[in-house]
Amino acid sequence: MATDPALLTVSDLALHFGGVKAVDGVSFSVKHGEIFAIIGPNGAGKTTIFNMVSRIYAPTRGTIELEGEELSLLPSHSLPSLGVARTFQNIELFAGTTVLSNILLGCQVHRRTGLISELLFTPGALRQEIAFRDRAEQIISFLDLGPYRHVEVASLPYGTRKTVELARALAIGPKLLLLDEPSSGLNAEETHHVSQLILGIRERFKTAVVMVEHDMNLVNNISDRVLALVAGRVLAEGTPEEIRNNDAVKSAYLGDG
Amino acid sequence: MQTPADYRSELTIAGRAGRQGLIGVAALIVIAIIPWFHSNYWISQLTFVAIYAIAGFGLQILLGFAGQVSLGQAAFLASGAYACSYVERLGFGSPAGFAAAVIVSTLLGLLVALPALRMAGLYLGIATMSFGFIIEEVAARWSSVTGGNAGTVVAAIEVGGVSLGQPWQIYYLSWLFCLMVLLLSYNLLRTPTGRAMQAIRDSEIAARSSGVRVAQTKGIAFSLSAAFAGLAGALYSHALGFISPEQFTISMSLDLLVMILIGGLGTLRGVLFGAVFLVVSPELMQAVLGMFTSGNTELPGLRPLLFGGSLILVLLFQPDGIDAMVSRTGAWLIRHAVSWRRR
Amino acid sequence: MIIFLQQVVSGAAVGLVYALVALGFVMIHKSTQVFNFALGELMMLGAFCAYTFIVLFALPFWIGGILAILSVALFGAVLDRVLLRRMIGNKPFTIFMLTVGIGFCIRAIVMLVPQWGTDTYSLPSPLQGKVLSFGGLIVSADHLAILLTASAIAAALYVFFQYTRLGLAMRAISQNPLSASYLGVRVDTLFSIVWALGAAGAALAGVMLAPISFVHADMGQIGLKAIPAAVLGGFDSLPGAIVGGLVIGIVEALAGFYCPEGVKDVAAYIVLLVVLAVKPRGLFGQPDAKKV
Repeated sequence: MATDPALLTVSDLALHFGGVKAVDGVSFSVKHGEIFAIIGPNGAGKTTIFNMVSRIYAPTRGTIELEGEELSLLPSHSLPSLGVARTFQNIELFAGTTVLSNILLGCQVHRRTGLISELLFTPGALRQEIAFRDRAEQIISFLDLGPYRHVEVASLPYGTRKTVELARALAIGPKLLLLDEPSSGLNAEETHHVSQLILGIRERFKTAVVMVEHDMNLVNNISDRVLALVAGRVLAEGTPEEIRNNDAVKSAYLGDG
Repeated sequence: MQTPADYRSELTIAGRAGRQGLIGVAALIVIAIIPWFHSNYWISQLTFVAIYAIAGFGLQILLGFAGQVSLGQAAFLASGAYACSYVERLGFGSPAGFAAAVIVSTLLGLLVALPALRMAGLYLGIATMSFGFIIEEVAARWSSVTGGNAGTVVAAIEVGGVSLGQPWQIYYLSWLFCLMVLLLSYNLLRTPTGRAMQAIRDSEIAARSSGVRVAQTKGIAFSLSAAFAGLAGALYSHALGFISPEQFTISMSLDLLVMILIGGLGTLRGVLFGAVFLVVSPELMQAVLGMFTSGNTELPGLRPLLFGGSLILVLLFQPDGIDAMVSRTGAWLIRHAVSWRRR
Repeated sequence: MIIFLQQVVSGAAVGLVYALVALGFVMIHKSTQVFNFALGELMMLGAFCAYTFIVLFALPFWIGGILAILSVALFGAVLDRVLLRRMIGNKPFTIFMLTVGIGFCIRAIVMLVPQWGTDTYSLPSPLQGKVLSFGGLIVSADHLAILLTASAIAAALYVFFQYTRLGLAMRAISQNPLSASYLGVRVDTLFSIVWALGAAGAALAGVMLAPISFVHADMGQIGLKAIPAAVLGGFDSLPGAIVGGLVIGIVEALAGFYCPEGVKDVAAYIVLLVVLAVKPRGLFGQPDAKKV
């Protein structure tokens, strides 16, 4: 049996600017449907790697391959059509519109209509809107966002807004979901809810998840594999148990003695 | 869970008939019968409501939906007006003139969009303002096409040999175009491109990460807004019968901006409310002043005072404009109507 | 060559007037993050006040001028206290539109005041008609006065911001108003002072410009030309505003002489568009980075 080809392969990724090496030669790979966590202290380069994979930054060196296709030269707006979606550390929602509208924007990538057919609202445009709405409703029901459907996102509580951002990412129908600190700002109960959600997403949609996380409980509970970073370099990679017991990780994160 | 049949009723105009639909139909009827009951003066004034609304829809798409600040919309009205009058003067008839107005303005809009892609907020506003000044000067100097500072007289609309120069004819034509533009804008709002524009306004980075082609969408916003402004300019030239560079100044650009802010930024109804305000409120003010003073009520300072003062009041106390006031009043009335019935 | 220099000198003089208004834009934006569109109208108001004190009340030019500047400065502070104060926390565009509304109202009031209205008035300065000759180069005394006064003001402002406590406080609030207030800086008072200073600068520009351009209700448009000057300097740099003003003034004067008719009126805006096309944030502007 051939080995399962990786979904995402990052090789020797680096980002240098002005003498600072934010990321210096990081390599890892993520399999289809795998839950992969990236951990490390602040400044380790976690979000920077994230931003390079999602093409907010251009890497100084290295390659990022999604199912064999080189990503590092593509503009960030082409990622959703390749099946990559992300959430943001500080929640970047479309504050001027409703929950439904935010999720419908996620359906954008499946658009088949052109400007003219949209302006004229042809039967084709109507059919597409119904299909988009259908898709959005499925996600709304999966994430229990029903009551908030027509509510302006700006007035929602923090935890709900994080869920809406997740819903928008799911609307893209991604193979790879990049979650930037999914538990930040949430209490223990909400974090548990998020961990169940991520498992549920993986089960239902077969999505691989790469997450940057600080909450070690969350990481230990649901990750298949963990990448530990320090100062822009890989410290260790393995299962949560292996990382937990890794001496180098323990001394780097918890200090000696 | 809602079924596709339910969505259809939310998505289509026919499905959303209900209360808003009745008001819409009533408004249409009022618009249709006005020429029977009013003087040419009022027919002309209400024609301008339609014309400003058309330009307003363009600005709303650019600013209210896509979040791009433009202080130079008058330039596109000018290009539309002058293109139309030039083509008509050459003898090609009004349909060609109107087509030229829209095409020239759209191309100009695309031209502005290119550098505008890299600018935002303050700098974009200043750049568009500068563009407006330059076009104004071009209109004053390019005498062969525009008639220079002296302006140019505009002949009546001519379609296939039929002259449509009567005020009521221009009135119906303008309102027809206005409803068409309203429909196009409404369609834009409920489809991917319109949502993409709003996404760019609210968070460009999230829009990009969700698959929105930001440059392309901004380009569409600029082009559409210029196209609508060009159409408005062509109508404007015929409604007035005369155009000169003095009409297409920063004053006009600012008036349009004030109009959609007072009417309600980001809403389609707001454009109509704003256009009505822009044309009707000075009249109302003159009428009220006339009741109290026997003196001259045509003072030139009154219009800017009315607009500036109203803008300040709206921004301080009801930033969502007349549209929000109407919604709140409507909701209040309905609640009280319901409780009345219960007694 | 002489003619060229002539244009440069008179252009520099007008340019320094633009620089004064540009300083107002930059000062207010730097400290309060507000783009004060009404500054052009405040300049016009300064000219009209000067006209009233000097021509109508027959006060000496210098006294009338200073009174005009003080009046407009006070008005600027009042505008901040009464209107701008309520808008803290709003989006920049909304606050900008408020200043547009204020500009409309100022212009309206000027047009409605019986002694002012929509006529054009002349405001002769005591140096009217006098010229100085520097070896063939003829400089009008008015222009020379502008050059000297504006340079002195610019130098004074530099010293003020660099070396005085108040100036330091103002630089602090422009960097981080919240921290500044925690350190005891009276941020709202400073905001009013900044508005007063900006208005004063515009009023001074109006007083100096009036003998050359006459006093009329559309003077505000001239003030708008200061915006390219401010942008040239990056909109957050005070020295940049002065350099920008000079550049715009000189380019304008040269365009008036060497270019076809009409280019002079829009030279400032053409320069602006060229600069923004190459550097979308002004010549010395900082890129806006958002952390995600």
